[in-house]
Amino acid sequence: MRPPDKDSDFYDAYLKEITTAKDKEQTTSDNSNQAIDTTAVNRSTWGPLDALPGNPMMWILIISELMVFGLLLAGYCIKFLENPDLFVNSQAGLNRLIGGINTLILITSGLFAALANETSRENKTYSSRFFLSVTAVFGLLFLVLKFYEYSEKAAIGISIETNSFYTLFYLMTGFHAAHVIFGILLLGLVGFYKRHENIQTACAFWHMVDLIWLILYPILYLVR
Amino acid sequence: MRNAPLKKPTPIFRLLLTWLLMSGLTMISMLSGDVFDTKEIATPIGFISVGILMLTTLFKCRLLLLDFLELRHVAPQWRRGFFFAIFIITAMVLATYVLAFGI
Repeated sequence: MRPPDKDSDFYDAYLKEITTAKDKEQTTSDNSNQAIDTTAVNRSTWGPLDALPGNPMMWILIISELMVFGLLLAGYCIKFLENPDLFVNSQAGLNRLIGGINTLILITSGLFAALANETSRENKTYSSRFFLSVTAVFGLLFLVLKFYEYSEKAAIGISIETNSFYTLFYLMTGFHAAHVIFGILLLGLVGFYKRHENIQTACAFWHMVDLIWLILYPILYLVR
Repeated sequence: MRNAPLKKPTPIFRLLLTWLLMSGLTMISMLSGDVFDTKEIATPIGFISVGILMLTTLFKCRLLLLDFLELRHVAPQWRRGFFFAIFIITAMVLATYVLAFGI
């Protein structure tokens, strides 16, 4: 469209219109630049933690849990050195086979959690939900065996107060079992709110629970 | 005759392989820890068996970190950090055993 003549009555209105259009354009461009900047800021909010898969907060939790269990095991080692015979004799009363079966159960649940993560990445919602459910079932099976083990000990009068070995044993395995319960709840939650990042994060938590048991089992049940 | 290039394993195949290896290592741990001996007698299993137990634990944790926790493709510093933490725990247990019972 041709601009009106400078001397015409429409020229002022034309200038006004052009200025408003230019201002609008400027505002839009500023906003889009701001959006790009915000994305860049979001990307680097967690620094090196951003490189890890899933939500960085979960990795902070994983690192903290490793430190907590690491310190508990350091305490176990110190008490073991103070009275090795008491620890070895008390440990002989544990059901090593159930502990081993529970390890295999958790490893298998870990496989299904990893499969749930992999299928959710490919947007296979039903497969992902199915694998999450199987993971939770294996988690429940772990808890059933753990309950059986505890009740077996209770039946012969062994409790958290029996001696320092059993105090540490119940403390560590009980704390771990609480994580299994929380993990099952988390798996149910992400099965419902099924975004890939949610599933990846919950699975990372589940693998952390698995990792801690892989360390606890040989130390508490087998090393003697 | 030219050799055909090796196919990269699919993620699901890798996960299954990891699970199989971890289960196998658990069976080794159970045998090394004399798990089928149901007598409630405190027989020490010895330094070598404890060493095997700690090595299998270390290897199982490594597999879990790499494939289940997906650390295979992240910065190597993260992998080293986690492996080191697990190594410290297993070394601490081995040292405790040596101090308590000798080699």
